[in-house]
Amino acid sequence: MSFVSLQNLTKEYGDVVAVDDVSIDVSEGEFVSILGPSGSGKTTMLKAIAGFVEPTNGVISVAGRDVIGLPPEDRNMGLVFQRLALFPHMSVFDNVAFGLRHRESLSKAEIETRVEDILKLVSLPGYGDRSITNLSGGEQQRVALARVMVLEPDLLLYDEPLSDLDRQLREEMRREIKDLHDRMGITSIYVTHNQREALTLSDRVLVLQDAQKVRCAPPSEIYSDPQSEFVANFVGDSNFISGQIGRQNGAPVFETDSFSLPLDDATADESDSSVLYIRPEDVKLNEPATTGNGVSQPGRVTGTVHLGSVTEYDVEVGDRTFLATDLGAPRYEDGDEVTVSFADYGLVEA
Amino acid sequence: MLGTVLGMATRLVRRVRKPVALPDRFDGYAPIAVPATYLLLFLLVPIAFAIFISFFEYDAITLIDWTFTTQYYQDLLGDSFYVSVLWYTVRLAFIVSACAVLLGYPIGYYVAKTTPFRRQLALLAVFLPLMVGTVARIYGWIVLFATNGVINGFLGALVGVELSLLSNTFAVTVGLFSVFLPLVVLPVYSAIEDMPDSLVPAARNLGANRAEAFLKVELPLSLPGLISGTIFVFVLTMNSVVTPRLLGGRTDITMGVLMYDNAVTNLNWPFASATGTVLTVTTTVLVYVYFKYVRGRMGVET
Amino acid sequence: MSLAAMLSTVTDALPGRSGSRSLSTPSLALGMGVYYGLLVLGFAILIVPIVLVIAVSFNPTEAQAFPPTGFSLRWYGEFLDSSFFNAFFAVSLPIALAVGTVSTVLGLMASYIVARRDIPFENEVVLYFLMPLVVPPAIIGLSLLLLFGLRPLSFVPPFVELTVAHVVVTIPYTFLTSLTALYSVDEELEQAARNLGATKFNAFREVTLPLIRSGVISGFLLAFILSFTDSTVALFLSGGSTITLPVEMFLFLQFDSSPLVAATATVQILLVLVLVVLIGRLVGFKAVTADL
Repeated sequence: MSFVSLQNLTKEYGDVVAVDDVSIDVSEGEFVSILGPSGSGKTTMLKAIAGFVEPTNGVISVAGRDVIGLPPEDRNMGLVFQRLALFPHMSVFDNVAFGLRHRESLSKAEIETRVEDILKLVSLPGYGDRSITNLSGGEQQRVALARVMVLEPDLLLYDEPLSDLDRQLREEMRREIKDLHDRMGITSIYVTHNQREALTLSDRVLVLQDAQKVRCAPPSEIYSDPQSEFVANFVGDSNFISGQIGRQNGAPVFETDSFSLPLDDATADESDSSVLYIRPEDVKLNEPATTGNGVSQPGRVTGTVHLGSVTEYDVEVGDRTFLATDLGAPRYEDGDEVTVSFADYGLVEA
Repeated sequence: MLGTVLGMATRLVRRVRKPVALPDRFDGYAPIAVPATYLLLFLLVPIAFAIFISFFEYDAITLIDWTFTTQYYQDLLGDSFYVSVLWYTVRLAFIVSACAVLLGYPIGYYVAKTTPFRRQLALLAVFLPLMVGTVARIYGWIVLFATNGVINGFLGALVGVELSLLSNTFAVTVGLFSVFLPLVVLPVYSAIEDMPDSLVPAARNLGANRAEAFLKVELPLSLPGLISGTIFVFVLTMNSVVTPRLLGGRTDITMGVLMYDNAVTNLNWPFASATGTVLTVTTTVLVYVYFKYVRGRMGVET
Repeated sequence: MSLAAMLSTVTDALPGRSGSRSLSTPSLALGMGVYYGLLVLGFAILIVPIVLVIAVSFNPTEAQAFPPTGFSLRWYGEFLDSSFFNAFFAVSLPIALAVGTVSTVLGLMASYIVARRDIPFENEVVLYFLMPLVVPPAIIGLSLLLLFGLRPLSFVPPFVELTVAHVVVTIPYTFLTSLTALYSVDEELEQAARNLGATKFNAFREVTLPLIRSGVISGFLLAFILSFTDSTVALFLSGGSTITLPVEMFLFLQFDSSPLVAATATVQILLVLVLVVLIGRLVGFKAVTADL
């Protein structure tokens, strides 16, 4: 019996089918992403699970209970909204404590302890008295996370929480979410249209096209075996590099036989097989410099394709080949030596 | 206060609530039924009832003798006295609306164009009288117009003349349009404020002088506000009771005053309702005609 | 009207540059003179009556002369002993409070559904609740007089009749102010509260209500003022010992005239002034006047 089960979930609005017969079984502690373009029904699915939309058909069960028919407040789920929905007239403490005060009968002291503990966990120690409106974007995100996690619900639902953020914050929060999931192990369903998020955060990815489930598999499988052009287009143009996770000077690194890249995921365990994921636009080519270390490595261009406003390069770094894209006309030719620097890469759950 | 009331209601409901499968729009539409029914019961039904009653006879003892009759309507539309009352009311409404527009437009214009501080003051001057209530303001006019009042006191001292300014149509007209003046100002102010600041400079740049810029650009564009203000004043004047009664003489009877006298003093409710019905129909027809005329003539959107 | 339409009005109306078209100075002066003349006249007509009333209230004598012959608070003293005082505090004030409360609650109930639920014919529903705005007060007064005149309902005390009538008149205002306030609060906040375990009532009470508080309060104050100062509706429904202040003044002025009325009116003006400032502080002036 799986922990979370969606069976034949369907939602119709008149003639429009927003969710079309989607089924999935999620194990306890699993992190599943629902990936799809805008309008593919992802948010509707999430709202149905959370209880704000009633399905036309289907069964939703969580921890053995059928939740359809239960009002949202009785479902023991946590929903992280895209726009966060923090309560502006309350302090950080009151926001985080809100659920505790309503769901459970805890003493004041217990509530205080739990709130403080979760705030420490999201790196906001002592923030209780602050007002929401004075927080930075990243801090607000963390409060939103803390608010649902402190309840340790059966299921965590994420509604594209990182879509409105700028790039740097997005990366920071992505790592934060992963970190929290690893630590707390709450079953999670994460909705997004961003493949990078889906592929680096999830145990499995469910791909939605036109309200229907077209693929549901672990990220590396999705890449290696898309089974459809639609899915392939979603992930096809990215780099998936196999390698290992090791240690250098005590810090985790992603290693191949010929180069290594530092990882800032401090909890990455050493592993014999791992897959690195990096988008072509994040593989940057520059004039050759000294031998590389860290995120810059020497490489050699082995292929060039000029496609109008964009140029694609195949570049060899050590014993691996990367796809790199650059704006504008080609700057390098086959055979050129270059320095390759890597921005924003992540590990894919194998 | 509201919070405590709702808090108590919450606790009450919680005790009664049972877990049920809730529909999609999770909390239903129940709350709106209360105010909707309230208006139905206390606005629509009474009006329908009043119209209904106007077709039955008044009886001095039982109040209403349930015999069907159209006598009251025949009187209102046939008897020369009542027709003159209606005609008087319509003329009054036209004059008051015209005066209100004449003075209300410049004020609205000024309020829209002036500095923020002065605008606050001006809005206070416009808004506050509206909120003070008709009777208090009318008293001010009584003080001004009475034979032993301010104007006559002045004139008497200076020139030895005494004017009969009260208890006549003049006083009623002035009183009415002073009461309703703010209602023209506010829509005009809104309309002018919504226009982009660049329009007048654009017009002048294209060769217009200040007057043309105003007449051909600002005026037409603020017309919708002006028109809605005028209609509002017109309707209210047609239905006015307090001002004509206090400032007018014995011959200054409007339909509203007629309604009041018959309803409250004579208890002749059927006739009062018939008066009200005739009044409302007349007003609606006139407003409709005016509206169409304006739209047709000037191609204005409202 | 769209910006494009406005601009085409400009271009259509103008002949384009063709020589000097600026106004001659005398005509400009004339135009400005007319403008400012009308302006002054308009403001005078608005302000003079009120100034007079306040001034006369301090007259030491019965005469209603201006400038006042002296300064005296005698009429305010008389006010305290008069039937006006009773009408003010025992009739108009309680009714206005009741009206404010009921009207605010009803307006909130209606606007909550309109703002937070997907309803068919949403525009028509909004217009329905704005209906009382287009019905003249005299008609509202008359028709309710008739309704409450019939046998089962004739035992309803005038106090209640007046409250009911005033609520009808003020619902559009409380509806609009709370609707505006609700639109400015994100719907997801209530959803978040429910997701965290609050019932729908608690979610509303703890999250939405505090955030719309100023809109709701200004609606209340508006309803209060409208009820307190209404004369036309009250004319039809006052009776027995329940006569509102404006009606009391009206009846007095039909046959008599005295600075006592001035003093009463001034007290009322003061009350309204305080309340208007309160609303202005809470919500901003335009927000209150916008729906006219």
